[in-house]
Amino acid sequence: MFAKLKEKIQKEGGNVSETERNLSSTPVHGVNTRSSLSGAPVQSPATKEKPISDTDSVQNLTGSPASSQASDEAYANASKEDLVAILMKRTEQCKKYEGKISEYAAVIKEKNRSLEKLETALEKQQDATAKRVQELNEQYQLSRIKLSDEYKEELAKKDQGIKELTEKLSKAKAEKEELYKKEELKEELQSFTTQEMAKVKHMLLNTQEELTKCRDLLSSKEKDAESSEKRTKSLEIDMFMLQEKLKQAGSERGKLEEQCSAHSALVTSLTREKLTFEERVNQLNQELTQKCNQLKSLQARMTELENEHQALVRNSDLYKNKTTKLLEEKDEHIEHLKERVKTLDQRHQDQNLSGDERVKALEEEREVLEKKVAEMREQLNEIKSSWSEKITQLEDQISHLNSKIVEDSEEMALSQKSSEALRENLHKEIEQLKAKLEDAEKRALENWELAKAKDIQYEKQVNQLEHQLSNIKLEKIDTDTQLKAQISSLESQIASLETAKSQEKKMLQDKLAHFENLEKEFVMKELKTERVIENLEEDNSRLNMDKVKKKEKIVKLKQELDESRSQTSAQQQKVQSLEEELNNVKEKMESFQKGTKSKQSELQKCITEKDELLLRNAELSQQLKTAQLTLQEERRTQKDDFREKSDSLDALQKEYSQLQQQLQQYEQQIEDMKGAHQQQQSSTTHVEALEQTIKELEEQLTEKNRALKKQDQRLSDLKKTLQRELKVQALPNDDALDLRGVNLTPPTRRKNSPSRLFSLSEMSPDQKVSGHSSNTDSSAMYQNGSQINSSVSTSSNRKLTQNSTLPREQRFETAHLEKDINFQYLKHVVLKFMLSRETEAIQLIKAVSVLLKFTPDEQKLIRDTLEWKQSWFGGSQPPAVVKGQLAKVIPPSY
Amino acid sequence: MGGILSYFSGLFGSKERRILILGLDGAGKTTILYKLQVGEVVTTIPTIGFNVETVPCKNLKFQVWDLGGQTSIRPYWRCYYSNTDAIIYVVDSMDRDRMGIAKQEFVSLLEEEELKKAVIVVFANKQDIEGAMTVSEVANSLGLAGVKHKYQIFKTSAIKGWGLDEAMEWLGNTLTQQK
Repeated sequence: MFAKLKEKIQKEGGNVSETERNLSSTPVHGVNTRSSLSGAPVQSPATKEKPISDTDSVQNLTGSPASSQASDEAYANASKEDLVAILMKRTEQCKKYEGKISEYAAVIKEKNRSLEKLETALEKQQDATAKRVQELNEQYQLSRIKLSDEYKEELAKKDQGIKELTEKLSKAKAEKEELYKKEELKEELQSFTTQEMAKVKHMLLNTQEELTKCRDLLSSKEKDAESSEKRTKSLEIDMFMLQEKLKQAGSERGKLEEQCSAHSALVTSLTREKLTFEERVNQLNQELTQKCNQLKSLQARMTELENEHQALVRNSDLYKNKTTKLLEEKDEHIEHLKERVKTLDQRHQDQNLSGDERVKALEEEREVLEKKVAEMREQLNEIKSSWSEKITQLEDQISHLNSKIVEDSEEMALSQKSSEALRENLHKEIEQLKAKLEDAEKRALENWELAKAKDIQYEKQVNQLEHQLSNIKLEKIDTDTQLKAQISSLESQIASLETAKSQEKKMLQDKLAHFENLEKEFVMKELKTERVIENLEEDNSRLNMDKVKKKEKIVKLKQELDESRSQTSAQQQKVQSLEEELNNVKEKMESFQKGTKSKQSELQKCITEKDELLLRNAELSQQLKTAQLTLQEERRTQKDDFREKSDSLDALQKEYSQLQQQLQQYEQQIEDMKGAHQQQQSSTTHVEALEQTIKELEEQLTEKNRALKKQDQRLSDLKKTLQRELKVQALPNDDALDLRGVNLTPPTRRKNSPSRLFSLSEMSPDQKVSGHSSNTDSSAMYQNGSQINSSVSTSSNRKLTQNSTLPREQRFETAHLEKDINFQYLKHVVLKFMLSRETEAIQLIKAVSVLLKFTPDEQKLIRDTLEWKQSWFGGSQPPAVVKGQLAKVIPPSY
Repeated sequence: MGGILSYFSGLFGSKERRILILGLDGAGKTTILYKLQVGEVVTTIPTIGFNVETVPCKNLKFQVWDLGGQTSIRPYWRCYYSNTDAIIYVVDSMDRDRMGIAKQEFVSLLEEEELKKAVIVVFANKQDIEGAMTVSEVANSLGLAGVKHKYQIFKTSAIKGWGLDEAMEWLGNTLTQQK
């Protein structure tokens, strides 16, 4: 322990010494290094010597850089001081360590003491324990002896007890053996009895099982029997149903057969009728075609005859008219001639009379002749009018005839068309009927096919049913065989069990017999039912077949019947209609023929009449010509008279018109005179008024001249003062004022210019009459204008004048007022513009722009911005914003 | 704001008609305007600039502009002509001397292209003073016979309130007929 401690201490101390040594050695080493760096060998590490050596090195210039030396010096200085400090610290540590060593020595001593104490204590304790062990051994031995004694006594007692017990045991063993023997005997007996019992039980169980099996079989067979009974019942019911159906089918079949026979009879009759009808139709068609041909020929003839007739009628009419006219004319001429003959007779008679009488007679003759002439004229007019009327009538007749011809031709065309249409219709109907017949045949074929298909289906069904029946039979046979096998097995079982269960056997046999009977009966019944069913089904199928066939036949027949009936009826109707039409046509033909005959007779008559009339006409025309010649001569004489009279009338009218013109001229002269008089009067009043105004204007002129002189004087004063002012002072603010003045003056000049021009050009009385209030204004304006005129010569001069006017406003009240009003106006308008809403502001743009001389672009900008402000949903930016130095809108702050 | 106001005025009231009151200075334009608007005679100073009031008449609303009539500011009238429905030309019936100037201004007014469709109402004002020119005299001196516009002359007195209502009624009727 102590040795280790000491070693440790020594090690530590050695370390310390080593470190100390290191510490002591390092500075020296550092110095050495430094000395090696410096290149100057300095062995003594004294601080005081170093600078000297350094300086020496520096002085010697041994090739070492001065800077490195300096750093080395500083380093050396620092290391020495540090080393001293470290040394001091080490010495202190050494002292501390020495103190610690002494302390450790003291501790060791103390520990040695305590060790010695502890050794003494141990020895004492060992002694005490030895004593105690001895005491305990003694006690142990004593107790052991006591216990061994007691044990021996108890052993003796127990040996005695054991002997008794062994005796008892022997006795018990003997008894046991006896008991075992008895028990074995008993067990043997019991085993024999149990074996026998088990055998009996087994037998019983077997029989019971067999019994249960038989019962199950019985129950199953009963169930089978019940099911078979049910089947038979159902089959019987089916049988009844089928039989009923069969009966119904048989009855229906009978009915259908009857119907069929009836329908077939009908069909045969109808087919015959149809054939006859078709023949008839063909005949009728042929007749129709023939009749149509006849009709066409007849119509052609008709047209020809009609044309001839019309031509003849026209000719006859013309001739009639001509002859009638000629006749009338001739009658008239004859009458005229008779009258003339009478007059000539009178003349002849008058020639016999004396002078005066002759004259009178001549005058009378003249009067008579004049009257006749008049009458003749009237008659001529009448004749002319009648002729024209006749001409018009003839034209009307011609037009009528033409229209009639057209109508007849149209009617002809219509009748032809109708006949053709009828024919076409007939053909179409025949075709339709044929098509219908074909359709009906097709349908019959289809029905036949359907019937065949149905037959096939029924046969298939019958086959299926037969198959089912055979299957059922097979199943039954199978079941029979199964049952028989089961019975045989059961019988064998029963035979084996007959000794034990004769009663059951009997019961089973009875039941079996019953079952067998039932089965036989079942089989019999089934066979019977099957046969019946087969028969019924066969019957049924046949009946159904027949039924279907007959139904189809009936349907077909009915359809055919209906069709044939409808066709026959339609054909009959058509035939009737055709016959009627034929009759009509014949009647028409006859009537036409009659008409032609009558017209031909009329024609002949007319021709005869015409000839007669032509003869008369010729005679009458000769008479007319003679009468016309005489009339023309008379007319010429009368016309000459008329011309003379009309000439005289014209002359008189000319004289009258000349007189009227003279009158009008006189009247105009009078009116002119009156107008001149009035004008003179008005002009005199005007002249007076004008003279008055001239006087007033002259007065005003004189006044204004005076004012002008005064203002000229003021102007000269002003100029003088201006010059003085200019000489005296040059204000720095002049330019600003000047600009304002320039801005304000142009509108005033513009305003004044029209009025000024007006005053200069016209010197109108109105301006001068304008009164005292405006007088000053106008004079001011005038003055201003003159001022501007004077100043227009040089712009600089004008500026000077305005500069001079501004400080001297009090002197020139008018100019000041003018400017003031304009300024006030501008101010007012701008204020209102700024304060008004956008709608009013838009209206004020023009005024403001005129006042401030805005360019059109600026005006537009203002208008756009105002409209933008006015609009609710205007764009985010105002319109026409120019950015940069030329911007006219203050950019928004956002 | 203006947009909203105009929108609602468009909804609830009829369209505003723009009317100018023109005439020489001292004719009584401002007095007429405030007589129409307030119904009272107001003391006025010479208008250098203009006054605008809305005057209701029947179903119509008149925005009446009273422009200053002084000689120097008369040329600015033409700045207000656009979109004008009617012009009330007020003439001082007592001022016989300046009737010529009144006629000149009236004629130049009628020649304006912007006022071709405007209705002209002439007020022969100051009829309450004795010795005033009669309506026919005023009409003659203004040369109303040769006017092609739709016009009517009324004898009025702004102070007494004569003839103003009739004139406005006529104006209202003619303007409603016109549009």
